[in-house]
This record gives sequence, structure tokens and C-alpha cells, in this order.
Amino acid sequence: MKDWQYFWQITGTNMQAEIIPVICTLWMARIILGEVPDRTKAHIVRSALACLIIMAVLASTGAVCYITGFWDWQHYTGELIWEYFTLLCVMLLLRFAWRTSTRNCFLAVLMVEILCSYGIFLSGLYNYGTVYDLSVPAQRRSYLFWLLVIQPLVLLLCGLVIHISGMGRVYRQWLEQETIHKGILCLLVLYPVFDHLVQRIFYEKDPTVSHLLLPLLLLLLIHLIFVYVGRDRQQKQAIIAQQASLQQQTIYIEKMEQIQQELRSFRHDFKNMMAGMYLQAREGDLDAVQDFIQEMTGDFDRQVGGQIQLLNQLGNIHMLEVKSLLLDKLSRMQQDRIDCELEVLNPFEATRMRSTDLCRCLGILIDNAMDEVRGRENGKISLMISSLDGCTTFRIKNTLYGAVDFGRMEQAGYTTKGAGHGIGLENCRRILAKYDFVFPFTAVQNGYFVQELKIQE
Amino acid sequence: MLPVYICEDDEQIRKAERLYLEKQILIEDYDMEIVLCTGSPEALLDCLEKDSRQGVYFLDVELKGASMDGFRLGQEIRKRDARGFLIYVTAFADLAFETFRYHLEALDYICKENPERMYQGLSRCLKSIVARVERERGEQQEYFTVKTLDVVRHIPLDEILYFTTAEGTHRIALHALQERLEFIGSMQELEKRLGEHFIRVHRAFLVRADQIAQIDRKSHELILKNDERCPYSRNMRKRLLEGAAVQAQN
Repeated sequence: MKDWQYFWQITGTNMQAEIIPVICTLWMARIILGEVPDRTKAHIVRSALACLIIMAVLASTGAVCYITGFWDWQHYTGELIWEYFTLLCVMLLLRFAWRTSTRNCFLAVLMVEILCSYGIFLSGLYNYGTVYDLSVPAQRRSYLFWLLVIQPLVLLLCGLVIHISGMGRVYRQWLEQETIHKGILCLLVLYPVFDHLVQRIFYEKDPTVSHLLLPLLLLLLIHLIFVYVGRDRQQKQAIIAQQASLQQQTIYIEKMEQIQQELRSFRHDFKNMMAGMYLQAREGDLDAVQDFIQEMTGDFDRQVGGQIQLLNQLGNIHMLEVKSLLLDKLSRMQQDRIDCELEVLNPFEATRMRSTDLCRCLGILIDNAMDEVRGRENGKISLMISSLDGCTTFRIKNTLYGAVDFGRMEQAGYTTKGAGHGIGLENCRRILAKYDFVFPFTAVQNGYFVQELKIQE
Repeated sequence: MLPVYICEDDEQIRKAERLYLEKQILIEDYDMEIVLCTGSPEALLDCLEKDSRQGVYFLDVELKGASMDGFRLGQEIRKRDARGFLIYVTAFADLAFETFRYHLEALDYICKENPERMYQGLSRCLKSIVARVERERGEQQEYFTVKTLDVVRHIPLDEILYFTTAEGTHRIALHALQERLEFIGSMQELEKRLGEHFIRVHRAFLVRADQIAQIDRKSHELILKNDERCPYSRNMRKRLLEGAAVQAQN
């Protein structure tokens, strides 16, 4: 009976003690993972409930561990297992709230753990060397002041620094990669072990050294990881850029060969026509000569003009990624026999939007247009890129054959096609949500569907 | 009377254009007159300084020897005459017309390679201008005008469903029957500007009153005529129900 009372008492205290760490953890997780995607009231209530349940589980298991002496196991094994258990619980909570993959959640939790312990170590510098005697009221007060004010403040500061420095974004980018380097994964996963080791090696010998060394070591470690990741990324991007430029050159050469072919056949026709025209001119039939000249210019436009025009427009795009994307889409449209026009009046150099995000969005919008027009009669797609007066506009216009349900368009899975389509627009909306300087526009105008991205440069 | 301006660097074509247009205006008895026929964009802009009427402009795209091209000239004309009709007369069929239409609201373009086709184009343009002027005269449509960066968009007020706050600072999303766009603004200002046709049913929603079809009291949502839903706040319920009762009586 007495045990039960003891258990409830400890559980209650644990619950109280968990409040600040949980708030910190959630806040840091938000910095790292970005905003919760589903922000409906129902989901937030559900997440809050899940949070309470996880807190209760942690508090009660903590009490059990305390009573049974689990934490005093040899070589810190008890503590380590406990730590992984906590990480797992928090991971489940994040997984529930953010609904991203388990791997990403777990990595985010580890990162939060590193950040929090870093903050706590830093705050430890405040009272470093002092040992509180909690039975003395004055000392208890100063301990509580440290616990409830200094520590959260330092954590807040750490979070702010990370938020402002944009580390969250870098981390998210890193999480977006499909394969994450195994070495880094191991380092991160083994962090609690590493933490204990450092503490054990240094703390038992000289507590002062551990207090100063640990934050430094951690900082260095995190820094190294990101430098490594950054370089790795850069290298990969360089390779991708090279491949893209190679692919572009191939397509260019193909196009040039096509033009050459067409010029050759035109030259052949041209000779025949000239012979015919010569005869007619000699007979004095001026009307026929005029007709000939017109026919000839028309033929030239049809056979060669279009291709040259397209290459001219493509030549105005100086952003490699966008050019590759368009070349790819244009050649696909040619395969599918979709009539397409491209207009790039002024040279398009660069944009503030991240190129991967821009390409993903443009890809989605162009695919939508292609899906609508493919296989239909008289369908046409007009693409326009316009850089003018500090502002870049991407405009995709296609013939529309049915009605567009604007009300449902932005919901996940809206499509006028069969299964497998329709995740596009939702993705596009999600990508654009993080840009303050991009303005999307969608409309039906005179039987055309118009999709537009406007970027303030 | 609509003033007609021609800016074209080739004298031959300029003359031909002028003659044909004069003939058409006379034959069809259009309410237009040719005010200026020049090769210099500056002369045209100078002329506009004195005349503030809505005009018709036939412009060449490549003006040889001039300080600006047809696109720049179009931009300058737009600054002085926002409602004028811009028509581009060009030697090449590969004009980036979508871009011209998008930025300058150009009405049409005409190929001058072939005189017959050019004449056809000129009379087609005159016809559509007259029709458009006629239409605009009878029209009572009110528009909501919004500027996003370098374009001004006009959305018919009675096609707007609602405004809502979007992600990002001071961002408003406009949901209309045929359009969806985002711009920078504030709900308070919109509410003030749009007046009684729009109701602020929720902190984040400003709905056009006559687009509301039903009130779903269970889920606290309004169902609009196009089946879109938007939430309403509790303290709006009474006002909405009263409004619905009035509508039902009518």
C-alpha cells in the first residue's frame, strides 16, 4: 500500500518536472522539423492528448525505475536504456504530430536531445562548482531559480540562435535526402552512449573539465557533421549539374541536327520552286510569282522557323536547372505530339527561390498542363518566363477541356485524371508555403487554364 | 472619338498602314481618327502628354534607330493611357505575344510580311476594338483590383467567394469562382474597403454574403454555392441565421 502511495507521489513529481523539458523539446522539434503540416483544431487536440499520454507513461515508468533501482545498474546500462526509451517515446510523439517518416522523427529527436543537453550544459556554467543543499531554504530557492529560470532561458537562447541561423532549414534539407550517410547516422544514434562516456571519463576525474569540455566537444561535433554534410551535398550537386549540362548539350546537338536536316530538305524544295518560279516570271504571271514567294516563306517558317525560335527562347534561360527541366518537358511534349510554345523575352538569369523547389513546382504545373492536353484535339500549351523590373514570372497556360473544381483543387489528391495523379498540387502548395516572396495564381481565362508563379527578386 | 496612333520605322509600311486604316474608318464609319503617324516613339509619347483619351496604337516591335523598342514603348504608353488598345505590327511571326499580352495587355498582333494578311489583321483589330468599346459601355460590372508585384489584376466582385489569411505574414488568399491568388494585404482593410457585401464570418475569413448557400450548424461551417466550406465563429452565428431568415423570406 505504502509502495503505491510512493509510486503515485513520484509519478506526480515527475509529471511536473517534465513540463518544461517537454515544452522545450516540442519547440526545438518545431524549429528542426518546421511547422506541423496538419494544423486543424482536431489534430492539435489529438496531438496534445498524445503528448499528455506520453508524459504520463514516462513519469510512471520513471517512478518504477526509481523504485526498483533500475537506474543504478552497473556501467550506466540502466540509465542508457532509459535514455533510449525516452527518445523512443518522444519520437513516437513527433511521428504522431508531424506525420513524417520514423527515420526523420528519430533523427530530429536525437538532434533535439543534443541541443537540449547542450543548452543544459551551458546553463550549468551558471552555477558551476556549487553544490546545493536543498534543505537550506535560501539554497533551495537559488537552485529552483536556476532550474526554472536560468535553464529555460538558456535553452530559449540556444533555440533562437539555431532558428535565426537557419540551421533548422539545413537540417531539413539534410533529412530530405534519400540516403543519409551511415557514419553520421551512427554518430547521432550513439550520441547518448558517447555522452555518458565523456561524462564518465572526465567527470569522475575532474568535474570542472567536464563542464567546460562537453559543450565545446558537442559544438565541434555538430559543426563537423554539418560541414561534412554540406561538402558532401555540394559535391553531389556539382555532379548533378555536370550531368544536366551534358544532357542539355546532347539535346542541343540533336535539335541542331534536326534543323540541319530540315534545312537540307528545304533547300531541295527551294531549288524546285525557284525553277518553277523562273518559268512563271518569264511568262509574266506576276500573281503566280507572288503566290510562290508567300508559299516559300510560309514553308520556311513551318519547317525550320519553329525549331530556331524554340532554341532562341531556350538560349535566354541562363539558369541551368530550369533549362534542363524545360528541355526534358519539351522533348516529352514532342513525343506526345503536344503543341507547345515557349516565350522567354528577356534573359532569365537567376531567382531567389531555391532551384530544387522551383523545379519541383514548375515540373508539377507543367505535368498538370500536359495531362490535360495529352491526346486531345487542338490542345496547346504556352510557357512564358518573364524577368522584368525585379520580378520573375512563370506562366503555364493550357487549353482546358473540362471544368476545374477550384474548391477541391488544393486538397490532397485532387485530380481530374485517374489514380496516381493529383498529389502534385498539394505538394506544390506545401513547397510554396515557406516562401514569403512567391505569389501563386491560378485561373480559368477564356477557355484556358492558367497557372502562374510570381517571384519577387 | 478614338485617336489612332501609328509608330513604324519603315516608311513604306507606315504609309500603307495609314492609307488602309483611313479607308476602313471611312467605309465602316468608325468613330476614330488617325492623329499621328510617325517613326519616332518620342514623338508619340509627346503627343500623349497633351491627349488623355483612350487611344488605339499600332506599334512596330523592332524600331530601328529609335531609343526604345516596341515593348518599352508599350510600357510607356501604358503609364499614360492605361485603357488604350495596343496592337503590334511585326515582321516576324515569332513574336513573344503571350509576354506582350501579359505585361502590356496587348490586344492583338499583325504580321506585316504579307500585305494581304496585314490588311486583314488591321480590319480585324478595328472591328474587335469597336465591339469591345461597345461592350464596355453597357457593362456595369464592378471589379476588385489588386496589384501583385508587377501586374494589376481585376476580378469581378460578384465572382469572389471569400478572402482568407494564408501562410506567411500579411498574406491574403482570394478565392473566386474562376480564380485563386495570393497577395499582401490586411483583413481589416479589406473589410473596410469592400463594405456590406462581404461578412467577416471568422477572424480569418471574409465571405461574400450572396455566395453563401447553406449554414452547417453541426460543423460550424458555411457551405458556399460552389460547395467550398469555410468556418464561422460562434459569435457570428446569430447574425448569419438572421441573414438567412431574411433571405428565406425574400
